[in-house]
Formats: sequence, structure tokens, C-alpha cells
Amino acid sequence: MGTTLFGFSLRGILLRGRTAAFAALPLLVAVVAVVVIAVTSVAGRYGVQSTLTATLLTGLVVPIVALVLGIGAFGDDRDSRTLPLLRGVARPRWHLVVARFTAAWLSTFLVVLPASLACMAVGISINLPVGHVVGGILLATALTSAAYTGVFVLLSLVTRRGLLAGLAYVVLWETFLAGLAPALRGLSIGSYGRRVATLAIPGDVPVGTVATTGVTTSVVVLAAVAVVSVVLSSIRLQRMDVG
Amino acid sequence: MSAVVELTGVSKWFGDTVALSDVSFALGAGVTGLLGHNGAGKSTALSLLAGFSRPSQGSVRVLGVDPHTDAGVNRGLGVVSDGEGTWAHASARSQVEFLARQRGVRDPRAAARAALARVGLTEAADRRVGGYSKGMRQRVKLAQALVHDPQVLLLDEPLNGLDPAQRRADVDLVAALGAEGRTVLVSSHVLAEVERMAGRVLVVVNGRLVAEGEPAGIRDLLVDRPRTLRLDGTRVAELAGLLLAEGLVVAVRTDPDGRGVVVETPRGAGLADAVPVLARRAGATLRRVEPVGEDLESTFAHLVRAARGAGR
Repeated sequence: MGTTLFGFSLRGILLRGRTAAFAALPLLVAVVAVVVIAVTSVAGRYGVQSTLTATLLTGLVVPIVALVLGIGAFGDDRDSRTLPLLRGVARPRWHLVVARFTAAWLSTFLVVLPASLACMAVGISINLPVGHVVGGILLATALTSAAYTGVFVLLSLVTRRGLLAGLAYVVLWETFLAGLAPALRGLSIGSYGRRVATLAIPGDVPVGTVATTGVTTSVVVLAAVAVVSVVLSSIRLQRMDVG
Repeated sequence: MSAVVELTGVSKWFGDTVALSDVSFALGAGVTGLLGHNGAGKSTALSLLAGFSRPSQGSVRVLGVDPHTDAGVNRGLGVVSDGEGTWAHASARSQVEFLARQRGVRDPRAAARAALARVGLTEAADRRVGGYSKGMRQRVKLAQALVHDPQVLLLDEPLNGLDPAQRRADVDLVAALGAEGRTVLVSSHVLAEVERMAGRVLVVVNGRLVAEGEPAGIRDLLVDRPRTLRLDGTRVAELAGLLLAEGLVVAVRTDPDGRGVVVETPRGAGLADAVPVLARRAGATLRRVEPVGEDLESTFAHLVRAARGAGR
């Protein structure tokens, strides 16, 4: 597997020092969850479970980890001038994009897993249906990761300053501007992710900025963002100068 | 000669900067050197041939196809680009094997082993490339380019970062690759190195192909031109007088730093032959004969003028 496109890409991401560094972020959420379960009453955990799942996991940890790993999917090859080597394989360019995207997506999902598990633990501790909690959080994490990763992979092929542009997008758009008006939520990946995450959150607890669409539509939108990003990345890689 | 590699009327510009201007050439089997100063357009030409970028004008064909759009060309094309070009996190073996697999080699493991052995990296092959010296990384790049036994090789300054022993070995390797019937285009800014590898040389200056031919002919073009030389030693004034009397130099002056005399000659080649003979006649002992105010840029500028005069 180490010499397949996917395996080589996955190893490249997982062996990077910054992947390990950013794995600390989800672990921090996990520690907070353990402390919450240990020191608060069941009633007190309702609001905390919502904050952990919607605000910290879907709204912060997933986009930041996806940003770092998604931009690295091709950004590191641009920096080390190995992008020409990738272009120099005898395979369609979209194979490369799919492999890099899948590796970055899977890595993001694995890196944020401790935070996902912690949110599930808090949800289960307040007697929410286990199926809803596990399914909702896994679905929200997987789809939000996919959408963010897709966008950031594309960004890594469009600009050499992908990390900076992506950070500006996450901080300014996703956490601030998208919350200003309902119409803007339709252009926020995080708001769709939080809508899916409501499957795992008590219905009467506020979850911040969420899309006005239903859960099913939100699932479709997130998947569509990922697919369209991969298609655009493939076109970009085919046409761009890498030399 | 059937053309395996062909540039026809190719220009490439980046904004207002013209990197290549109306360049045409065709290559068959054997080693061809691409000579030029830094920024002359060598890397741009190689990048276009490798399919890494598209020409702004003109057409590029490698093995009969457009290398930018047809990924299949990479089964028969090996490239060493300038710059880093290795994955630091992976061992030499894993990345060479990875590329072999992605280029359709039937037994990638055996191919990687053979390529690494050919560039002398067998013992270090399982170490992370991030810990390699620059010379070793350069050899990994060569192994990457060779692993699928390509018919065409494009090597951009492959000797950069190598120590003298490695340079000699790699010069021999490139020459051998050409002797095997491959089409090899190797860039350099050092004529002496190109001479030892290539049977033909293309000279690029400021984005234009200004000369092409056998290395000896290119050397004559470079040497046999107006030059200013400093002659340092004993009785060099007498030597300069004889050179002047023979019409080999047109001006003589004392070196302002007191290091002998400075002479100006319209044709460097004639002077090189005459100096030893006339030095004996003048009883001069030469400590040093060196060019004054010469750099690659001025050398290549002369080639541009010569090419214009000859109509290339």
C-alpha cells in the first residue's frame, strides 16, 4: 500500500510533524469532555454537550485540522517541488486528486476522532439515544471534514498562500460573517455541519449558526461541496503550470 | 534522424517577461547538451518538454504527443527538474518504487532496486531522504528519472550539488545513457561538463537558441573572439611587444594594479597558440594568463552577435 497513490499520500500526511502537532487540538476537547463528565451534573451537561459538538468540534476543530491537512495535500508538494513528479505519473490527473483528497479527508477524520468520541461520551452520559449520538456525530464529522478538506485541497492548487487564505476563510467567514444574516448561512460549510450535528444534540438547546435546510439537504450539500471541489481540483491540476 | 523530442516555434512568457522566444529544435537518440547562463531559459525549455507547463506559442511534441495533455507520455519520459524534487518523509526506495508503480512498471520493486544501484544509493536506500546530503538527494532524483527505463530523459542541471567524484560518475552515467540509444537532453552552464557528456550542444541566451552544433565547434565560438587578457610574469612587456608586432593584439597597457600587462586581442584562439612560442622568444616566464572583465553573460552575448552574423 505504501507505493499506491493513496498509501503514499496517507503516509506523507500522517508522518508530517504538523499533523501530530494539530492532533493536540482534538485531544484538548477530549480532556474538557472528561472533566465535564467528572465534575458536572447530568442537567448541567446539556449546554456543554451542545457547545462541545456544535461549536468546538464542528465549528473549530474540524475546519482547523482540515485546513492544515487539506492545504498540505498539494501545498507541500508545491513547496518541495515534488508536484512535477506527481504530474509526471502515467495516470489521469483526477486519480492524483482523488488519492490526495481521500488521504487528507481520512487523516482529518482520524485526527479529530478523539474529540468526536468525547462528544459522543458526553451525549451518552446525558441519556440521549446512543444511535442518534454516535450516528449524528460521525455523520457530521465525516461530511464536514469532507467538505472542508475538498475546499482546502482546491485552495492548495489555486494559490501558494493557501494556508493564509484558508485561515482567513475559517476565521472571518465561517465563525463571524456567516452568522450575521440567515442568507449567508447558505454559504457556510459549518452551518450545514451543525445542522447534521443536531441529530446528536438535545432539541431544546441552542447550537449557534445552523443552515435553514433540513438534515437530509445539509448532508447532500456537504457531499456536493466535496465532490465539486475534487472535480475543480482535477481540472486545475490538469491545466496548471507546475514547472 | 527521426525526432523523438521536438520544439517548433516555441515561445513562453510570464507576464511581461519572455522566458523563451521562438525556439525550434528536434532531438533524436544520443546526448544533447543545453548550455546557457542562469536565467537563459534552459529550465523553461525542459519544463515545456516535460509537460509541466504549456507554451504561450508554438508546439511541443515528445514521443509523438503533447506532453502537457497526454499523461501516457510519462511511461517513456524521465525528468530531473531543478530544485528539491524529493519527498523528505519517504525513503529513497519507497519513493522510487512509488514512481515506478505509477508509471506502469511491471515489477516496481526490482526496478527501484536496479535504479538505486545504478546511481550508487543501494546502501542508503532505506533511510529517509530528509536526512540525505544534497548530493545524495540529487542522485535520488536521477533514480526517480531512470526507474521506468525511459526512452527520453530530460535532466536539468543534474550535476548540481555533487562532489567531484560524483560529478565524474554522473557524467559517465549520462554519456552511457545516450550510448544506450536514449534521447537525453541535459542542461548545464558549464561547457566542459557538457562536452564530456554530449555529442551535440544547443546554446540558449536570453530565451533564444543562438547556436547549435558539436561541442568542439561551440568551444571555438566561445574562445575565438575578442578578449582582454592579463599577462603576469617576468619580461611580459617584451612578450606584449612581440604580440603587438605579430598583429595578434591590438592594444597593450600596464595593469593598473601592477600585475603585468593587459592586452586586447580580436581573436582569442590565435593568441592562445602564439603565446607559448613568443614567450620563449622573449625570454618571458609567465605566472598567470587570465581574462579581464569576462563573465558568462559577456561570453554568451558574443555568441548572440556571432549567431546574428552567421545567420545561424
